[in-house]
Amino acid sequence: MPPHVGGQQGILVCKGEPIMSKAKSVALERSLQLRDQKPLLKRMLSYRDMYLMMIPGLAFLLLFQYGPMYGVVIAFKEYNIIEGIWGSPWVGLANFEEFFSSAEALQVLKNTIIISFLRLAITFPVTIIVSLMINEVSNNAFKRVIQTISYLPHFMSWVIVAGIVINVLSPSTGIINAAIKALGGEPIYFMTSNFWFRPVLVLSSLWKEVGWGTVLYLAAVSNVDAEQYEAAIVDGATRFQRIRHITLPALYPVMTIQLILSMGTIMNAGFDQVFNLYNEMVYETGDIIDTFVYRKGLVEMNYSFSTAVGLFKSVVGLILTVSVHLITRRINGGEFGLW
Amino acid sequence: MNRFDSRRDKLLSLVNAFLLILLAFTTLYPFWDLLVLSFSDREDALRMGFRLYTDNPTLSAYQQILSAPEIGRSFLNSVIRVVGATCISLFLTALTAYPLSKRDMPFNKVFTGLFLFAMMFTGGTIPTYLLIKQLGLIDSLWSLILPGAMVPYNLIIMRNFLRSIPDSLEESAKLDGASNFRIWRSIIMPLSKPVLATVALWVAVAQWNAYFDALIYITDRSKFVVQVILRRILLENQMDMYTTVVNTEDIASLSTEESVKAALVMVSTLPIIAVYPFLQKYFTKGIMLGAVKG
Repeated sequence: MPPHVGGQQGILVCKGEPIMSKAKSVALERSLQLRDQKPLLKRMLSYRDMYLMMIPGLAFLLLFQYGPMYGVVIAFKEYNIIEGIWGSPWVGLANFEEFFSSAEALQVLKNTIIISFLRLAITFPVTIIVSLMINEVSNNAFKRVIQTISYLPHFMSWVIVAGIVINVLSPSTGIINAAIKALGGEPIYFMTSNFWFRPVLVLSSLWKEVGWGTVLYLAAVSNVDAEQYEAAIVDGATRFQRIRHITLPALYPVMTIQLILSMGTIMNAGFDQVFNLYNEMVYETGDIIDTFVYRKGLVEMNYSFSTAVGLFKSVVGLILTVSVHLITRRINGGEFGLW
Repeated sequence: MNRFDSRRDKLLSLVNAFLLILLAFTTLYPFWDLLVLSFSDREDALRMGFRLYTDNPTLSAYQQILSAPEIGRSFLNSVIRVVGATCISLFLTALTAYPLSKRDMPFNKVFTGLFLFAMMFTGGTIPTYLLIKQLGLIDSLWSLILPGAMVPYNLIIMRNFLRSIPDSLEESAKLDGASNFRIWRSIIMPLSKPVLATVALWVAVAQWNAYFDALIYITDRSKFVVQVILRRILLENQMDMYTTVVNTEDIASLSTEESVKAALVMVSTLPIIAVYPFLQKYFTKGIMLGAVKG
């Protein structure tokens, strides 16, 4: 029998009431565990069918997630189809040098970071405000209708949302341009304007995700003790004072996590969105690393170069994610890591 | 609270309700507009401005879609991919998550680490493409089903859920000599229905909405999925390739291209709308599972 810490808790707990201090019980568990400690091989043997159960999952992981990681070596080679991944000649860092010395490098890096930050700067506060607004609704039926409607676009693919965006912004039949014309203005070609493309990106992702973004915040608010609000009302606090001093502080932990998390994904400026909305006219303001990698690789068939740019992005992304994880863990005292 | 405060409170509630209705309207109107457009005849479809209803509803746009064999075929392909991937993924994830939920299993941390690393670092588009090509999966629906079957994130979520099941439930079965596989099948899986439903819906929605893999791995038009057809028709204006005008005299009675596009959007979102009550319930549950993992 393998040592089951959980199973031994029965000894220490009586009718759900702990009969000894937590520190003591932990110490006892540990000593029991140590006494139970068998040689590694024996312990592994007792888990043999567990290992067997993992084989299919591990096989898929190794083939489809780690398989491509092997292919990453072509970032340091001049890949050609005839010689394959292994046979193609090594070129060292030439592909990376080519990227960083190109004019496009600066442009796609700049676009990626600007779009990420713009999106964060708008989506983050607006989501919190909408959460607070939904939370203030006292009629539950109305609240549920608003939530049901506002969650909907989250489940649509960016292909469809892009179709909707193009329809709404169409210079000939779109509702926005209809309004502009009604007010005596000239129709705006939003989708081909370098001035408008980034606002279109930010607003369309706000439209798609703002409702869904409130889920976490509303869950955090629902944990607030109702007595706090009652006491505040008795003390004569206005509604804004209650929001400011009770509701908002309850949201701080989620806000912190969300903000830090988005720092970890700053290199992802939303491939699916940009890819489905952009066109040659707006490369200047809309071309991001991921779309650039796609075009260089799968359109221009420049496999090695594209892989090198993708690898650069992945490594920066990995460093950001790990740092963010370490920060989150520190803030929450080890209670709430990303994994 | 004095009378002035309570009156001001009511006014605030009204303003708040009004703004939320405005938000709901902004969310819903683009869908409604497309719905009306999809039923509009030529004349109505070309009108500009607010579209709240149409006087002469026609089904001609939907008929045009139904008479296009490639569009029908793409729906079948999408269903195959969703069902195939969901079944395989759910089985693999549940099977792998159970051993990983056992903290005492030797080398657990190593295996978990392998999955976590794959969550944070991927080979990238081209190396994955080359692998799929090497495996001979190009132009096969398997290229859409297999690579996404093992999602590390889903695995971690399921592992965390399984950890919350008390070990004592397994103890008696273990004393009766049941194998771990049997315990997994007859005790653990029945208790895991909520997390299984959550993961199944995650995979299904992701698979239904996925387009990029299908765009680069599939060139055979008979194996296109809905999202690829949508992309070609909505964003690349290649409608002529998919819908055929049978009789040129009929052109006046045909719907506009915009109406057909709208009808296509409606039909392709129908499966999502159909399962929407479940999506709302289980996705919300899932986001909580993800939030408290640790």
